[in-house]
Amino acid sequence: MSGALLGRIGAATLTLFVVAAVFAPVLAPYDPTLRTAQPFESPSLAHPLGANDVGQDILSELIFASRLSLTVGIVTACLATVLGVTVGVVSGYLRGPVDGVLMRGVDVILSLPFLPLMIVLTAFLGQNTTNLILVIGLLIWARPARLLRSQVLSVRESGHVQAARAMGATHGYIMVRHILPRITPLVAAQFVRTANVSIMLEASLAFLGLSDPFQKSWGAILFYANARSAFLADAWLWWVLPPGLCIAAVVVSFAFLGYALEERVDPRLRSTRPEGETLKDAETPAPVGGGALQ
Amino acid sequence: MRPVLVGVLGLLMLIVLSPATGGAQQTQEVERLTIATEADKGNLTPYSFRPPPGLHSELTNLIHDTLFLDPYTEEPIPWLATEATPNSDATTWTVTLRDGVTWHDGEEFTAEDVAFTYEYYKEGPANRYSHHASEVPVIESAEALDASTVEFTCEQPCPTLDLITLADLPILPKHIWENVDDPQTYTDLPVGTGPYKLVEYVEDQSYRFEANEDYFLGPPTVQEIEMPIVPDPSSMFLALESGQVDTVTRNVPPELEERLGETENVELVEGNRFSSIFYRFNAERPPLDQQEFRRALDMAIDRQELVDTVLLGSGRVGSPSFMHPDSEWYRPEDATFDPEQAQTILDEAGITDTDGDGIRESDGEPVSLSVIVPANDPQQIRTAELITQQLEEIGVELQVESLDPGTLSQRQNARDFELASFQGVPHLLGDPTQMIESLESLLFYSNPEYEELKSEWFQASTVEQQSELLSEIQALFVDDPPAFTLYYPDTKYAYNSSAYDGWLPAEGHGIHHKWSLIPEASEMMGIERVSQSSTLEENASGGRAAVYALVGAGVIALLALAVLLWRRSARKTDDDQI
Amino acid sequence: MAQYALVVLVAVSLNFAIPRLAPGTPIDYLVPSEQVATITPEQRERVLAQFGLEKPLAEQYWLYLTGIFQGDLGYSTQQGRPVVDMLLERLPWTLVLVRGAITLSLIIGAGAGFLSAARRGGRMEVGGLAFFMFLDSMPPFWIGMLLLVLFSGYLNLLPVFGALPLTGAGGGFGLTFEVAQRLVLPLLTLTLVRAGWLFLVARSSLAGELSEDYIVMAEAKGLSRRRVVLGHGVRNALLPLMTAVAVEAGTVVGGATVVETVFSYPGLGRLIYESVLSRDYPVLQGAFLLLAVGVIAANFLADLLYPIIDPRTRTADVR
Repeated sequence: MSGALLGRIGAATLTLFVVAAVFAPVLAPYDPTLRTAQPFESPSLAHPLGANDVGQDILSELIFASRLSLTVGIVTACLATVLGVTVGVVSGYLRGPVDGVLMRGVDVILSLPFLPLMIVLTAFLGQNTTNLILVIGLLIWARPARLLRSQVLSVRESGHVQAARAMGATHGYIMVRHILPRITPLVAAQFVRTANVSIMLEASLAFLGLSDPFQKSWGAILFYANARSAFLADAWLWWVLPPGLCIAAVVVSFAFLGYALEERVDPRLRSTRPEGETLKDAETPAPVGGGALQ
Repeated sequence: MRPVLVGVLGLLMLIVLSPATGGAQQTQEVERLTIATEADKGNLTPYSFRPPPGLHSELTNLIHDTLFLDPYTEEPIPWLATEATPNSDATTWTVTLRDGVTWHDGEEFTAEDVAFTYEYYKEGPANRYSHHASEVPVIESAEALDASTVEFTCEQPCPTLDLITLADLPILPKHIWENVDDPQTYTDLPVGTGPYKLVEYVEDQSYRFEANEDYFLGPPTVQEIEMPIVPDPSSMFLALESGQVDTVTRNVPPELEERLGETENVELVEGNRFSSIFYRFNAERPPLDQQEFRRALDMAIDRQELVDTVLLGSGRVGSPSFMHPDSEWYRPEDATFDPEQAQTILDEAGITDTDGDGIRESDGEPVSLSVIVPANDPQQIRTAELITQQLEEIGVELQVESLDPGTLSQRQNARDFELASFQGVPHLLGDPTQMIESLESLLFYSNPEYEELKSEWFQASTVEQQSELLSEIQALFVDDPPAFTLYYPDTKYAYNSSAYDGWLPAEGHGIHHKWSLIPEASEMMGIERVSQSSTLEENASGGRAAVYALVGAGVIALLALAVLLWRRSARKTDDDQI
Repeated sequence: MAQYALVVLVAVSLNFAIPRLAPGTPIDYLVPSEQVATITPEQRERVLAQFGLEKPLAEQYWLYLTGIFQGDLGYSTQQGRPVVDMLLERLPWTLVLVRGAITLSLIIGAGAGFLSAARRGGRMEVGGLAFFMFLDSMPPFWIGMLLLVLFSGYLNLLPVFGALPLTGAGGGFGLTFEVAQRLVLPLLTLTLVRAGWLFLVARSSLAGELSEDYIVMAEAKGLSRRRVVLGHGVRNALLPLMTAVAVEAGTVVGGATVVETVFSYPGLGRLIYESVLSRDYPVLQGAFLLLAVGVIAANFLADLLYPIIDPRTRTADVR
């Protein structure tokens, strides 16, 4: 199946980036915060990707930046997934007024203009990585919640959940022991997607100059490159292409992985269509690239 | 999928643009100039102010005129006025106006307009100019004696009235503005006496100016000016390179100097615009309240390294005198760079590293300062990054907070900061009256000697006396600076010399202003227009070829990957079928 | 219905609160920083009063709410113009851009997605999938800048800024051509970014349909594969696709912000970005309102229309 191949490619690429992130101090030829070359130096053997506007080695910056992007992606995804799963499971399992309130809350969040909200919130809280993760996490859980809820709606009608309920199991017990395991593959796929969205959001915010400018991140490298005219000089080859490609590579690897995961659970997901639920919830992949910046 | 992509690409290739403007034209009579500007400044009344970046007064003054030419000139040069005579202690001035000047709508310009304008600035909401009428100096009254004479009375002597005040304030037409109660929501296109009429303003998109054929100095050199608003710097210089615009109002960043210099027809000129980056400090916050501590910080900053690294050498190191070195009011003083002396000063002040962690302690608290910088200005961020490292050397920790512009101004206005990175504008670096005012309002400067000199300054009745006093004030700054001026960046501008080369680098302003477009201005100001200098046309094709080769290699690699994937999947499906 | 009204009210209230949460007020942006400190409280009050911002928050909120029903969104603190006029001026550009991008990316992305699903296991499948997923993974601002450098820089084919030609190219065809030229790059950027996503939606919808029992039935009845796919599969798969487009329309408008900035395009996204920076509360409220109402309406319509179009979702628990 095609998914398996993509999944393997994704896993391999991600492993590569994780290795780069973990062993950054060993792999990077220089400390990216030190000025080890002339500003705007062109690539050479000593500096394979040249130097940035203050003479920091771009290759080392790239390697160290993978730390931030991966951290933001994974931590934010954890946060958003926990929130999304909680709301989705509670809402889908309990139904009734709780469901109504929670889902309308989700509607409100989905209707908020994302980018301005992020600008306002980062301005309010201060521009640092922790706040960035918090803000992104608190804004992107709504979509997974909605999606998981629709899945829970169908799972709760299945035989063994009904049976457990008949035998007097508590709601908490059923949700944790019976519902959660059934939706785990979907949760995993959602985790991957939220990781993607947050990496892209981080990059976009950094590009607009709204993240911590001293944290090495791919978006921040692009921010400086753009602001210091790298697009106009030939420097775009070594200063603009690589960070963009790194973002794309990590995001696409996550996407490949997610796709592989989803394909594995797909047949079962497809044949169930819960009552009154629309297809858009169950089957629409969320956009990653352009959608990231609402 | 393939045919679709090919189709789209083909369509794109079909849309071939004829090169926008260009072609050699006569320098003196130009039909149309296209000038890209970096920011929307509203409908260009004196009230439509927006913070930097972008030109504001230079644009409003295309439409409006002032009584004297410009506040940054050495001597007052009459413009709408023909002469101004003070009384003996320079508290009352009699100003004679030109005859035969008309507003764009045909109404006659009279002394009533002048008197009205000054009252309006004084009474109306604050704007960029109003402090000239209400603070320094305080103009008690402006009275029209007859159709072409105005009498100004100041509360205290105002010897610089003709040199600065009258040269800075744009005159408004009474017959229009007397009906405007609410200047901030006034959205009509302004009416002035200036060489250009604003005929079209598309918010966030463009301005269009037309020559005022009845201008009192004769019609300007360029018939029509189009001014697209292009906020993105890369797009802006790209437009210049590709000939879509004739010049851009943004300074040429140092990293682009070489490349633009090599571009055909594009010339660079130093525009002498007053600009600086300085750090304000909040002397209410310990340990910044100690003069010795501030002095040590000042000494620990290696300004030359900042200029070399951040500006690539295109700039001058900051001076304690604060004002711009090219200003008439600047007193030459050099900043001291001496980290060892700085360490000694700190040791003597009892600010020492008691716990051996590399950071000094003051009153038991580690000395950790924060500086706020605008998040949209990478040069200022990089500067802060370097200073952080420099201060580390003397055991002072500096944390950089980069803030979006809105938050930044709020923090500054609320005095909620320790150090703040600030961009000096011409108004601040070349105008002594603004400087005197800003010392308190912006920089919170205060020491007994200064207070004394300041009250003398307000009593001084000649320009010479004021100049002397300002020089003494600046001498105080050597030991007790009101701010740390880091550097004065060069302000080079790029223009297409085949479109227009009558540019006039006016002290303080750069080249984009009305004098560049008025034939007589060059002689009046005593400044030469840029002459077409012969430059070496370097052939950049070598670099380009390498770029194409690399791009080609990248594309081939991608294709190879795609083919690999395809074959792999093909093999897989074959396997499946077996 | 009442629920949706409540959602709208909450969203509208949040839109009022969010801009005011940020540090700073419009006045910090209306007066030069070197002079803010010299402004007297009376002058400050006067500037704020021009925009009704000196009133207590509760009163401002009430005026904002009642204003909405009268089609009055106040005046921009930056431009001094009615917010409604400004929004109406920007909306067409954004609509042209967004509608164009959605249409094009539907043709390219969804077309390829359907093809991919119909020929599962075909030679192109993995390659196409990987390609479109890669498109979906590239940062939009990055694509935009690269296109700009390529088409306007190296090839010098297209104008680099704005939406309208500077000097009137007359009317009619000349103007249309000029406007179209300026639309190419932002449109292409948004299209590329969107195509990847629509590919995935289209592919999974059609693949889902094709695994349904009725398709198997139809094929068993002897209908040609082509007729089954086009007549049944694609027709039904179009529904979730359209829903997805409707639901994401708001996101697309918002997502255009960065692209509009890169190309100096006068759309809604850019207006919002500029207004955030200058703390232009009235414009922000108005623009947020427009987006929120649009998104909620799209969601509502989708929820409403879906069971009507696709009867299967109406019946209670089929299985």
